[in-house]
Amino acid sequence: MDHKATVRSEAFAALRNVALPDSRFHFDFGEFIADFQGSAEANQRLIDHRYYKSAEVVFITPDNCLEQLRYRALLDGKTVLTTSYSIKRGFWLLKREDIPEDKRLYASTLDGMERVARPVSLQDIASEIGHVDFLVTGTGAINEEGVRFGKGHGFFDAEWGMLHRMGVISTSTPAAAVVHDCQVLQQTLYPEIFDTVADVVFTPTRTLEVTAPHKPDCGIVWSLLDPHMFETIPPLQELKDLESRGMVATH
Amino acid sequence: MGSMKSAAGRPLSKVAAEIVERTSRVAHADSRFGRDFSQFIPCFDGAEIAARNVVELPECRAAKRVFITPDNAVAPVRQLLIQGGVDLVVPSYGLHRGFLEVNPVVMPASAVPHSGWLDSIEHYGRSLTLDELAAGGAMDLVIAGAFAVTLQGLRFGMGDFYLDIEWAILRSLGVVTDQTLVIAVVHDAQTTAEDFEPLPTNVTADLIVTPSRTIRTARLAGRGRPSTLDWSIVPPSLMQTGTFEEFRHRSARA
Repeated sequence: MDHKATVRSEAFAALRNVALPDSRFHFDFGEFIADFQGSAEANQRLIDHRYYKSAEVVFITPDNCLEQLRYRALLDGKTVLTTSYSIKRGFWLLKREDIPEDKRLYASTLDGMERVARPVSLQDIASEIGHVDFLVTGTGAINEEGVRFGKGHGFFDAEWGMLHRMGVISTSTPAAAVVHDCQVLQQTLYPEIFDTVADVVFTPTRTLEVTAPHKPDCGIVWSLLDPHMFETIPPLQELKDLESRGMVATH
Repeated sequence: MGSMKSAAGRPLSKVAAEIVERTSRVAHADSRFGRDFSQFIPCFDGAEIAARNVVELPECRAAKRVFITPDNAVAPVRQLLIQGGVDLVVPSYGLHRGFLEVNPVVMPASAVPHSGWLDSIEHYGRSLTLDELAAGGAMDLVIAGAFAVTLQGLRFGMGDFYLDIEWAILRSLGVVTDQTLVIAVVHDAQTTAEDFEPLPTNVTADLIVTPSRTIRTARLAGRGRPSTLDWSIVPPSLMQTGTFEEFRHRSARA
């Protein structure tokens, strides 16, 4: 086991005491990012933060700890961009005016989302939405400098890379992580070129602001991308096609 | 079971492969597992129509408490039953966390119209110990999805043993009897005219409901169902879970 995997498994042992199970994966933390006791307080800290307040369009990952946030953002009239689990069926758009009041809670669950929201391609995101103002993710473990230990798949980094390449975010777009206190570790980590470091970390008891977090502008580094991700994630295929046809700016 | 042959001499594995092929054209992705149909029983085109057919059955109209599997195929049935005020007992996916009770009366009214899927049941369901399950009273019906079903009511293929285990637990808790009606809800593509001999542990269905028809199976009369749990069908990974520990204790007491 590499160093990251070791500390992640230690964090998972602590998380087991406060985590809520997934409807399919139970407590198998290798498969999903868990909701946890106190996530309402952590999300409330985020909702009170200037990044959320000033955002019109928020990207929120499909992590279980952010289900309440997706619901709250819909109620607050934010445009919510998310993905299906593992990005396997791409990006989805949730807008309050498209979703009847009694379906908003349902829309914020993974089971309901794809039955209520609208699938959007990267080109749709660029042309119809144009800008994403704030990104929020859960994560297995993170340090106080906002560097995520991830769960080994790099989904959030891929999402950041795709949205950045499409020009809807820039390196100054804020990103936040929502975690339980037991997921905040002391270890020093050196971010990789494609690591999206959080500007702020919200826990049930703390708000950790990060100074000058590293934000990638490298898009998707195709040579470093796991081939399985490319094969199973349609928007990555779309992006590669757009790049090969010269339809997005590369540098 | 894969080496079994039908009455007409066709291998079960071949029949199953044909059903996979037919079903994949009408099956819906799962929110987690996508189209990996080795992990779950999918919802399908017409599942809402099949659900309507189920709740309009005379046996279902009178039901107050129903045992229903966590299969996506029966999410629309769960939805209609909850809206009809019926109490549900639902096994957790993979039986990891035993059984959940969904009581529509205590559910927020705003949740009722969209509560049939597993994520909602996770929110509004309550975990039951086996003692609580037993104290809650008899099941009026058992409703299950299936990978495939013969016209004689034998459910077979992926995950078929879960209902067999659950039935044996319910039976020993005294909340189902040999007479309790078992309904399988499937797409027409999941039915087969091939006839396979059930194993002693198999819980066969009395009724098969599809979007286009309702079939009352011939085996209904006279064929007993398992009355005790055959531990050999319980996956080793479940043996140490709270539910099975409690079940062992209960069995030892009895």
